[in-house]
Amino acid sequence: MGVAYLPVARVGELAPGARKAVDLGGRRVFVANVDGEHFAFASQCPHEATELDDAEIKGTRLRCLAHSYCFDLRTGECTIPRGGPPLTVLPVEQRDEEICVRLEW
Amino acid sequence: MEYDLLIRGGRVVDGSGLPGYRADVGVRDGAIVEIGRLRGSAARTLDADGLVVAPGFVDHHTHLDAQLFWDPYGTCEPQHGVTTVVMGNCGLTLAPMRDGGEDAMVKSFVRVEAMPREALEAGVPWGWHSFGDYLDALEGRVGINVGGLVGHIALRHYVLGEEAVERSATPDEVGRMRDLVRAALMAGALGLSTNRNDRHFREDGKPVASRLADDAEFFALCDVLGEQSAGVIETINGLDKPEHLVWYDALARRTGRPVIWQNVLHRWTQPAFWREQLAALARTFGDGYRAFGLTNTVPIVQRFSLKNAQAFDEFPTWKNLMFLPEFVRKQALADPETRAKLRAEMAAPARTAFHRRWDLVRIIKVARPENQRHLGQSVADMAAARGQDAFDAFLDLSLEEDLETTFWSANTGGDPAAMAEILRSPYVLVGLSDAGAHVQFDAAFGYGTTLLGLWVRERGVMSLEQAIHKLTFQVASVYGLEGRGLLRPGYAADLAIFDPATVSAHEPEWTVDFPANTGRLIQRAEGMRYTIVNGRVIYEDGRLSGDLAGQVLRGAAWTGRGFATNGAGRRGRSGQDAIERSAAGV
Repeated sequence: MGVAYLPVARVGELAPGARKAVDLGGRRVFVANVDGEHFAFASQCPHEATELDDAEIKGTRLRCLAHSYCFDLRTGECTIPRGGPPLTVLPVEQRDEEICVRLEW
Repeated sequence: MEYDLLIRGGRVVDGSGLPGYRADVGVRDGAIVEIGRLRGSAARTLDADGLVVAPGFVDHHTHLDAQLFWDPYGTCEPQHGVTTVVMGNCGLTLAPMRDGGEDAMVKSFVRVEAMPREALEAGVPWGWHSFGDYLDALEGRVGINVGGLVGHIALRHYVLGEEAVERSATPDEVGRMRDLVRAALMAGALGLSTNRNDRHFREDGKPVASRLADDAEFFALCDVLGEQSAGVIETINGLDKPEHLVWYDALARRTGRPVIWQNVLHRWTQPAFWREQLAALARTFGDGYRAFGLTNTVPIVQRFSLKNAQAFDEFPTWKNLMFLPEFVRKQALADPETRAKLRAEMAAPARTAFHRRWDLVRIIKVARPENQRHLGQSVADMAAARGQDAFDAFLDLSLEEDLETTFWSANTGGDPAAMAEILRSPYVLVGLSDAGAHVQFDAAFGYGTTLLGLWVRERGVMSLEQAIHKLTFQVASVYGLEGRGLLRPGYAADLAIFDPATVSAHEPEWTVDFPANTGRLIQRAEGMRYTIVNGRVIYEDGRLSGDLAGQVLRGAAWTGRGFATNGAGRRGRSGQDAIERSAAGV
């Protein structure tokens, strides 16, 4: 049992609308600044594993350009189509000058 | 020479389902002329001793509509014994096409069927309008036989333009689409396909056009097939629901035409629904109507190790562990308190995509020599051999091997007993290769070789004769491919000649051979010695001949090229063209 805070960006590093890919535990993860709030999510769409480099983000909705599956970045819930597989999202916290993914086990 | 081609000494399994027998097969002018002990001379003789000589397989669920223009064999179809393909499934076709409408269809193909846009833009030689023109464009340039369904999405775009993805059709527009269906059938379409899958969108996020159609529109289009007594109706409805079964039944009764719907599969997350599906099929057939379920022989699988598993992302603690640095993850996986938490999450009653059945997770790669004995075992069996609980054994084996152990898990098509019943049902068609689609995510050309290798040879769920019947004459009959799918004098010499002891499908592999330098997954086969199309050898021991031996196969309502009105309500090509000009409002 434990908690880890894994730094993924420095505060101010990502402008609103920007995103970057990081490696966490051997998996590719995106960190995105959406209107000042940071989100972290797995790099692949859970539908057909398309990489989400070009996925469209509007507000907290992410749309995969492959088949237009849409996800809520706050929860990972698939909103279009309803009941689709969820996007893997990770909790993000600011700790001092760093944006961290918080992983608890 | 008496024969162009003589195939000597093979075991003839003729597609009828009758027991196979040892015989020679004589071929002349593209057709089978004699089967028996043949003594005549031949331009070429193939020794088939020890091999099975069967009709070429008919892959009826493909999306090769575009690919055939740059890849006339639809590779890897011939490698798996396929001699005929049906394209135009799921509502998606490249015709009819109005001027300037090309991009609307590309948008749908790119997203629904996950084809690279660059390949479509570089590889499709647009220029046709009618469905007949499109079929004509393929004449003489295909290495395998090809037939096509006309797609509801293309019909809607032809008549409604971009409004096809915005609104329902007016009665006048439905009437124009009906005219187009009639024209397509008379030009040789094998039927009509639609797409009602609520997960299918275009590239721009709009639903594919057929999703905007109500039942009245679609049934009106299908009525044309009933009026013409020709063609099949192919549908995809998305996530399987009981009400869909009622809809397929109603469609079959109303039109009297064969309906083919997706999919009958065993799913661990809905482990009893397949029985409901088979019962519904039996009721429809029991009343004399035809609604076939479509199934696949290849389970949808995940391969994972605890270095990279995404299979457990739906369990919160599991998910977090999989993003931790490996050394922390390994410590956590060894910790009894963390294990208890992981175990509790998996035992929770919530419905999950992962089936949580350790008897269904197999070990397919180990890192340490002493663990070779576990290769191929289920985790449950491995645990029993080690005298451990399955969950602990799964984690301990992975930790011993520095997380390198690779596992295999299938959610769909995973229960062999259920799949055996599904595959044996006379109301179920085997297929679903989806060839030409999802090319960067999967390759399932080998559904037929998997049926023969896995389900017949290894699992013995049906006879070789039954399996060949399902891959050939059953499909050819349902689709109205006259003169195909059987080994009989007078039938087309479409043949698959293979070694029954080794025939099987390889794992998919990546290659870059599509237009615009784009890549895709291909799938090779084992044991397929010769594939013969219209009497010409197109594939031999791993190599394609380059011979474009294929033909465009036209359905029962085809009026033939150059015929005028025949007085029975069926019109020739000039009539079809007039219908299509009228339907487009020009």
